Amino acid sequence: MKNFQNKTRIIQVSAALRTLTFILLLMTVLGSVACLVNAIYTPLILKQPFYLSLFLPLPDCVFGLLAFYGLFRFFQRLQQGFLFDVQTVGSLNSAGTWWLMLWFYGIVRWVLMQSLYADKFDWSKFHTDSWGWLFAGLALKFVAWLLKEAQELQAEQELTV
Amino acid sequence: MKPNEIHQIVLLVCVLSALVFLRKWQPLQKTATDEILPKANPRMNRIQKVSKGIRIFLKYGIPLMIAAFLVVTYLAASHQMTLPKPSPPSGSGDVQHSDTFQVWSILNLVVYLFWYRTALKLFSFFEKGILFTGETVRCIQILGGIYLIRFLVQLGFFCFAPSSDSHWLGAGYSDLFTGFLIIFIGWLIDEARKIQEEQDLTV
Repeated sequence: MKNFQNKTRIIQVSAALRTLTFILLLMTVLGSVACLVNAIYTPLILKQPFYLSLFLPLPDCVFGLLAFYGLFRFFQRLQQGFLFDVQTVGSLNSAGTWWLMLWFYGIVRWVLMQSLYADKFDWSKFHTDSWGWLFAGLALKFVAWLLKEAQELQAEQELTV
Repeated sequence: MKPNEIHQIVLLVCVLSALVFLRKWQPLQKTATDEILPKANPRMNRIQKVSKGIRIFLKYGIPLMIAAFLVVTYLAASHQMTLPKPSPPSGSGDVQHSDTFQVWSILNLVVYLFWYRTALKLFSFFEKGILFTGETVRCIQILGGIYLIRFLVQLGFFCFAPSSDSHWLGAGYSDLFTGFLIIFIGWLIDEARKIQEEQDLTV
């Protein structure tokens, strides 16, 4: 009975988080569309040249989209009752990977913007907050790896007579 | 050297000494789970090795980085080394030199101290092969709680000591996200562990 209650609780919480992640996913899609329109459509209408700086946030949106999709898939699998199987852990791992890509591209974009548009290259203006995102990505990757190893360990132990 | 710089260096030295002192004064307590260590297995060995690597980095790498930072600051202050000067602040400069920022630095250091201790404890559990037990779950949840507290402190500063460029809140989103994620994963592992225990007890 308690077992059933625990699982129901996991499913309920996961359903709420899945909805939240879906909203974030939608917002990222809208952001990507807005970026694309701003970079392509506006110069076409106003007959202006295309600016590289307007295209630079696009990969950010794509990586964010993929990271949120990974989290969405993770919560969806949990909601379906698959706790630590290969696909669930794989979704978490892919979310971690895209999160790290997002962090890395953040640095690349910042360096590009500084090199192209700033008068003087200044590292002191780099946002230290990005280390928090790096930690989030690494934590996701580590937890996914740990769960994968533990799950395979258990599978091996079950097969051992 | 400016008085502000001396203040921060003294603070860092104090935190470093406190870390060393705490590690020696309160070694990891032996728990009941220590005695029920899982059998050696290539996968378990891998988990233990990676955890050991991370623990060693935390234990020695971070104090070394702090020491290197102190040395560089000292050399720069005594004009034996020239560091590139940052450009004139655009708006966050008033924040960085205010009393609020000093209070924030102290609170940040205290939070980092707790984070450091909990992370060391967690990875030493993993190193021993204790993966999903009550102790590890508690450590994971404390780590998540630390991030949430950090976000709440930043939110408090945002409300009561506002800066011109929303400095505090802008830096807090990653803490909020990381905190919730870590707490959720800790909770999930705890629930899964309870289910497993229940299943093991069912005949």
